[in-house]
Amino acid sequence: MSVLGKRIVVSGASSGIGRAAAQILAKSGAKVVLIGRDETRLDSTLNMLEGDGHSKYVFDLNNTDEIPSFIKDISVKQGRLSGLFHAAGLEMFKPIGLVNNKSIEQIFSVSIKAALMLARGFCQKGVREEGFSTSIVFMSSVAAMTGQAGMTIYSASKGAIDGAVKSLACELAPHLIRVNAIAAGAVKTEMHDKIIARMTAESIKEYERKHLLGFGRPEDIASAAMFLLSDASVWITGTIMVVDGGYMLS
Amino acid sequence: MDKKAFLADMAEILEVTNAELSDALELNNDNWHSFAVVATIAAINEHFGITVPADTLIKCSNIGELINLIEANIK
Repeated sequence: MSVLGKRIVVSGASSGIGRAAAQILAKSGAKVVLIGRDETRLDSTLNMLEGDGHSKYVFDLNNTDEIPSFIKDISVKQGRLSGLFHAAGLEMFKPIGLVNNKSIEQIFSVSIKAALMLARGFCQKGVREEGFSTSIVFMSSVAAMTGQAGMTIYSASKGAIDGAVKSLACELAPHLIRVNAIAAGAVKTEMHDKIIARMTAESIKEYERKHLLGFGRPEDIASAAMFLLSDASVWITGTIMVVDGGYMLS
Repeated sequence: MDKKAFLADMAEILEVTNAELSDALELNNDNWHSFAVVATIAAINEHFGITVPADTLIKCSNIGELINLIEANIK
């Protein structure tokens, strides 16, 4: 499962799954380009990385129109890219009666809009390695496949990711760009802490029980992301890989 | 503290009109179910930037108590 020498962009790298992915990729010999909004936390991630050739960029992915030129700029300064892992995301609990344009935009902007613009940036001529298999990995969620009251916007944004993965995979296969997503269950991150803070102790136990292997760790998703970014998955594209500790079975 | 916007959200969550939403409005088995509690926690977080534990919030018996709880957590 080699990523040795590959230059891989990781969004949401200042915490949680993005940070864990950056760490495991660096440990395996990749040169990681960290993207995040918080410079201090991004520096912390950078300091955790093994190996050399890593870099960091403070950037707000809500500036979607600027993403393609931002990615181009990264490739000019760091060299051509082999992979992209879009780990940045937000969660939101909102009954349909409270949904408004602002809340939809908040979630869709950093999830699907940023994903599409990151893909556009990655596809530009001169940005990615050519003649070799390259890989784009997005974060989806089991919430796109199973319903959960109050999670309509979030589920819809992840459903949009799942749809985009399939069409992008078709469009980009001739350019040897693979496109996949990871549908994660509940993973112990800051986002997860916010979700369970809204639940009673009893509900948390029930929620974890539905994950047959318990709540996941960021490293569990990071490992799956590394597989999809590596040459071990060179014949895999257009898939939504479920990594949920058995949640979908319960 | 955006109390007016929060109360508008509470009216939506409890399925009452803004006019019906007074401090005396009872929170009971009919309207104070787990989904309403979770929605209220999310609304409190959005409007006041604080997180009130579900186990505490569920004990509120009317809107007045709910507002007092929020104010106590803000201080």
